[in-house]
Amino acid sequence: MPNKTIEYNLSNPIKVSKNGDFVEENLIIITEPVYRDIHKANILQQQFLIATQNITKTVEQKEEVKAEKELLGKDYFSILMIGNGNLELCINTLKELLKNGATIGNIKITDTILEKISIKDFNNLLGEYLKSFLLVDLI
Amino acid sequence: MSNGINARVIFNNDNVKIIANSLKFKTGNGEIKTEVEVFGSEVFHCDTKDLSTAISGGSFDMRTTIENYEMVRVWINNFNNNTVQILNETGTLALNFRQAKVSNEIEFEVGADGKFTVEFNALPVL
Repeated sequence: MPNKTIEYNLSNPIKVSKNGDFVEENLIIITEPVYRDIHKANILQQQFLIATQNITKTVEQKEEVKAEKELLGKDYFSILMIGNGNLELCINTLKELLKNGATIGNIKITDTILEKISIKDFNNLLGEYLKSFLLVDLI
Repeated sequence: MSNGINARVIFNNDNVKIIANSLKFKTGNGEIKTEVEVFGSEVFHCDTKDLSTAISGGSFDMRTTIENYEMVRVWINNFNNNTVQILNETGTLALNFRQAKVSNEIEFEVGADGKFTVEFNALPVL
């Protein structure tokens, strides 16, 4: 059975090298990480859980707060940020994960492609990755 | 005072580690041929662009390693379906070479300090 994949449309398309030319692409397809990347995937999971724990400590009210609507990728990134997750570690880890299992316009993601992705898109990608692959069974 | 260019090479979305000071490039504007015409003592230039020379390209040296050898084999097999970018650190120089192909028969030097030269040509840089 093929691994699960998710699609992410960049809000700012980027130019990539394809068949001898430079073409604009915006559709990123990310494949679910496998055992090869377990250490990197665990780092992201761990940082997210640390962030949620930090947030819980700062909340004075003990009432359980339930989300009224489904959280989006950007919400997961916000939790990571507000909860003081190690963002540098998370971003570097996500870069490695994407290089191992993501394409844009059927082109394998490389460092030079990652450099062109906007900050907003990259942060959202981090959230989507957490939401779709790593936190499904945890929360 | 003017600064030299410290550029990096990107071949098909991949950074390439080249040997320092080995990069050369041309943008493929085409040579201008000038004929002189005279009318009495008055001189006129008749300039023509020789489009047969409108080929961009360049060359650089790399270390002979297994990784580099395999990378270059892919470029050769791609024939003219490669792109090359030459960028400087500040982003003020960005040259895009389309339909690039490795044009030389590469001779790989083997040994501790083995290296080889990659020459490429492409469509004129826009």
